Amino acid sequence: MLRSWAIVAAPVLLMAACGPRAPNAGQQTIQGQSMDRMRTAVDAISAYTKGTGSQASAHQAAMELAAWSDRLADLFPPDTAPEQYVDMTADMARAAPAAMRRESANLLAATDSGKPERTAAALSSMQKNGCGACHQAVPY
Amino acid sequence: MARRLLTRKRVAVCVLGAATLGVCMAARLPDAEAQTYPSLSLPAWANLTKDDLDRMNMAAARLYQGQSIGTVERWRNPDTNNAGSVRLEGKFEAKGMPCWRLDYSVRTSDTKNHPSRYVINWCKTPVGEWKIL
Repeated sequence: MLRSWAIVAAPVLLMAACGPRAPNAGQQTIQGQSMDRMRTAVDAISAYTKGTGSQASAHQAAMELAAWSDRLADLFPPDTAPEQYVDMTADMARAAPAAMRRESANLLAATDSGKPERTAAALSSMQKNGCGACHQAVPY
Repeated sequence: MARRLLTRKRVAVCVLGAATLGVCMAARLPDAEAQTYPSLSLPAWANLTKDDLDRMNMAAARLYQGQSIGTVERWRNPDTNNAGSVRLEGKFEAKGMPCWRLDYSVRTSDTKNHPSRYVINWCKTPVGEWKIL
């Protein structure tokens, strides 16, 4: 009886041991992807303010920033994000979506205006008050 | 106050440890992106997996892209539940090399409430290699 069980169980155990133990290895989390996409959008807007990018691509990038801003609360829920991320507080996770929404709306209007100087100011404000809500130094 | 002293002591120990382990921390990187930025390798980070390190190095790499002092980048591995942050502490020049001072904070299941911290100065040599100062 015991031998029969061993014959049945052994392959199952072997297969389990050979299965993927790190199914997400090498894959970015959706949160990581969102950061990369937003960074790319910031770069596109920055290029416009420096005269190396178009207004159309800057406007598109601003729209993408606004869209990601709307998703931040789901990506970084204030009740779980501090447990998942080092140095992230619940206050940060709570404040960031509103800050990013406000700044991205400002940026969208700036890119819409067709004025690179205004866009540069809005981008600077976004980096300081939007991105900065989570990415600036926090006391240890 | 006591906590701050403990943290300073830990940082100092870690910096010393990092310098000692400099030989183990190769700055040789295989892929195209990694050739631009330094990375830490496994011997110095026994509690982390290679995937953890890749995520940490990717987070650190973002700090070299013109970020301002004090910028924090975070990473998390959903498979190991390990997580960390990297903070750009400063930029300076040493012996003609541009250098970046990074503060790594790592939280594993063993150090859940007390993340380990490591402060490392990375400098880029004229030939493009990265060295720990």
